[in-house]
Formats: sequence, C-alpha cells, structure tokens
Amino acid sequence: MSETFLGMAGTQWALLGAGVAAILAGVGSAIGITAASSLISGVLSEDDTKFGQLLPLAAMPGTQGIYGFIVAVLVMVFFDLLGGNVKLTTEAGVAIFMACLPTGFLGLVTAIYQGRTAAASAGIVAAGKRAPALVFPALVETYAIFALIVTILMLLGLQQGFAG
Amino acid sequence: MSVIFDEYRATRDGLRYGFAVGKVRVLETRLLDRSALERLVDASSFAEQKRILSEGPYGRFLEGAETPAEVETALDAALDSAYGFLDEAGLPPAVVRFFRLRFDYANLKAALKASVVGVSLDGLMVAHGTVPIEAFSGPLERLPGALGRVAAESLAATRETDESSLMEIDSVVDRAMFAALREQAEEAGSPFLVEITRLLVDLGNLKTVVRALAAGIPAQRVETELLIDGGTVALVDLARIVRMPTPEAHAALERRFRLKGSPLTSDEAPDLDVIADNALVAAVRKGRRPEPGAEDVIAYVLAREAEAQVLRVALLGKMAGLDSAALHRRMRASFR
Repeated sequence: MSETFLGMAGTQWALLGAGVAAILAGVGSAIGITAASSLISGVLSEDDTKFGQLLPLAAMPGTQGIYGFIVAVLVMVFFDLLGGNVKLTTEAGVAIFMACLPTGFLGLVTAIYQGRTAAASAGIVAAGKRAPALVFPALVETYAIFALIVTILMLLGLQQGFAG
Repeated sequence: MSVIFDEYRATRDGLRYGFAVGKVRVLETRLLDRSALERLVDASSFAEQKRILSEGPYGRFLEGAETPAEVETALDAALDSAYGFLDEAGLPPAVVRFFRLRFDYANLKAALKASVVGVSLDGLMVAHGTVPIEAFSGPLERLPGALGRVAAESLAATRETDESSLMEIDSVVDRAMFAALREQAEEAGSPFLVEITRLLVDLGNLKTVVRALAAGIPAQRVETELLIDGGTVALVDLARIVRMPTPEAHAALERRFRLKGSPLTSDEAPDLDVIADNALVAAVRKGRRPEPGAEDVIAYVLAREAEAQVLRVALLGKMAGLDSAALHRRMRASFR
C-alpha cells in the first residue's frame, strides 16, 4: 500500500476511525435519549411518582455513546496516539479505521432503536403494569455490546500485528 | 428506500410528539372504563353519579352542576380542555381544524333545519367550532367560506319540511363536511385521520340507508341524492341494499358494515347513534400504536369526545328520570 490512501496517511485513518466511533455512537445516543426522555417527561408531567422506574429507561440509550468513547480512547492508547510523534503505516491506519466501524455504525443504529424501544416501554410503566419494562430495551443493548467486543478484539489483534 | 424513510419518520415523530404522547399514556388510564360506566348507569341519583366522577378528571368540571344546562356546560368545558390539548401537543393546524370543522357543520345543519321547520336556535348550537355560534343566527348564506356556499345550496334545494327534505339537508351538509374533513386529513398527512373520515362517511351512509328504509324514500332518490361517496363501502353495494326488503336490507347492512351483535336485526329498535359511536370507538382503539406519533394524541382526543357523549347520556338520562335498563340500552362502548 502506498504512503497515503485517499489522500490520508495511516495515523490520520486511525484518528478518523476513533472519531467515527465516538461521533456516530454519540449521535445515536443523543437521539435515543431524546426519544425516550421526551416521552418519559410527558409521563412524569402527569404522574411524577414513576420517576424511579423511568430513569433507567431514559439513560439506557446513553451506553452506546460510552462504547464509542471507549473505542476512541483504546485506539489512542493501543497505538500510542497520545505520545505525539506517531507514524502508523497506511495499511495499519486503514485497518484500525475498519475495526472502529462496528461500534460506530451499530452504536448509531442501536441507540436510536433502543430509544424508541425505551419510549414504548415507558408506556408499560405509565399504564401502571407490573411487567418489567427494562427488559425490552436491554435486549437491543446486546447488539451494541457485541459490536464493542468485536471492535476491541480487532484492535487487540491489530495492536499485536502493527504496534507490538 | 421507503423503509429508511419510514424509520426516519417514526424517529422524527417520536421526538416531535414524545412529550404529548407521554402525557396521553397516563391520561388514557384515567378514561372511564366499562365498570365505571356501569356504576354511573346503575347509580341511584345524579348526586351519586357526581360522587363517582368526583375523583376523576370530570370532578372539577361537574362540581357546581345541578341542572341539565349546567351539566352540558360542564361537559363542554371538559371537551374544550381536550381540544386545548391538541394545540398544546403541537399537532399540525390541519388536525386541529379537523376537529373544529365538524362543529361548524353540525351547527350549520341545526341552523338550516331550524330555519326550514321554523323553530328557534336556542339550545341547538354547540361551541368548539371555528365560526362563533352567533354567526349562525344571521343569514346563513353569509357564513364564511364553504359554509355559506353549502347553506345557499341547501336552502335552494329544500322546499318542503318533511322527513326527506331534512335528510336532504343532512346529505348536502354532510357531503361538504366530509370533503372538508378529507382535505384537512390529507393536509395533516395523517393516514389515521383519512381512515377516520372514511369511517365517518360509512356511518353517515349507514344512518341514511336505515332511515330511508324506515321513511319509505324511493331507492332511486337515496342512491342519487342522499348517499355520499368516499367511504369504504361502495355506493353500488349500498344502492343494491336500498332496493331490498327492509329485514334483508338490515341483515345485509350488518354484514357489509361488520356490525357486532346484530344491532339492526335484533328485536329492539336500533339506536343508530349508539351503533355509530361504538364503531368509531372500535376504530379509535386501533389508532393506539406502540411507537409515539400524532395518532396517539388524535385517538386520545377522539376517545375523550366519545366519553363526553357517554357521560352526556348517562348524566342527563339520570336527571330526566330514565331507569338503568333504558340507560344501558343507550350506553356506548368505552375506550378502555
């Protein structure tokens, strides 16, 4: 592979990967939390006794943003990007970028859907039903965790291969 | 591509209407359920009914109500708060107009019939419309917009004061109203409101056919002048039914409109308003969705309308001295 790919050097690709993971997952979390919170706020405006049951539902879509942040930090730590004078090969940089995509894209999608599921589950709490409303958004969380695990495993592999 | 757009729209609606839908999720639980309605009907007196309602959302409206007129005023105020919720929820203006326009046309219908029969308008007008009720006391042709045109058309077509002429007024006004409602529903971009409009057309046609059969109006006239297009039941089917003998026609209507419990062919005289209200409540229940959207708010306000109607029958019926059995026959289905 040449010195650059699509006009960007290896380190720039690695930084782009870290940024994509943090940004996309963060955007998804912001949308998901807003979707859940706006409905939950409506419920609480009529019945504030349900705050304790509803707060976890509003907070749940925020985990994807945390996963994106973790991935971005891992990229910087694993490949010594915090050290300053770093020179990753283009091949390594593009590979790191690819490794970040599962958390970025799946974080975006699952956070939005988790927000919608949490909003629907808030209806269960609002109706005063005893069913565990937290279970359904938690099911969506599974796939964000899978994506995080895949990204971490790929980054570990790449660290062994390129930086080790 | 359309899947992506649908998902985008669902997410956008969730963000836009989330707060209002959250309120609706709680307020729905305060709608009167079947057992509460049963207790209202079986209550020994109006005072007992007020006591039953005192802890619910109607308590504050009915607090000082003692006469039928005060009960009407209290229920109107309760309904007004439901329409106020439409504005508060930030629904498109066309949705709010959809709700308000029906009262304009109901007032127009009442004013036209009153002028044909020659009775006073006192107590016939209802608030909540877009046109002040005082405007209906003047020349009806001068009412704003489509209302004035419909009034002129209706007055020109009506010469007699018999049953069929009054049905003619119903038909002309309803035709204009359903066209206006369809326009608002499409402008609001709400498939649910479009479906509700089609159902309202169906229910209007159902009433027309049953009343025409009872009044012996010629099938040809029913087909060409009284039936309204735009429902889910085709006019050709209705025209065929109108030509049948009454018992067979009623049975065919029950099948075609999928009416539950054979309300037309049972021994008791059918109450068309009860049948229509029950069909509407059944459709409104379908408007509830797991994901938040404008439909939830619309369905809730329609449910409040239906509930106000049920309360009107129960409270005013009890005040008028109707016994529980008579009130049970007039009871509508509850939303919950």
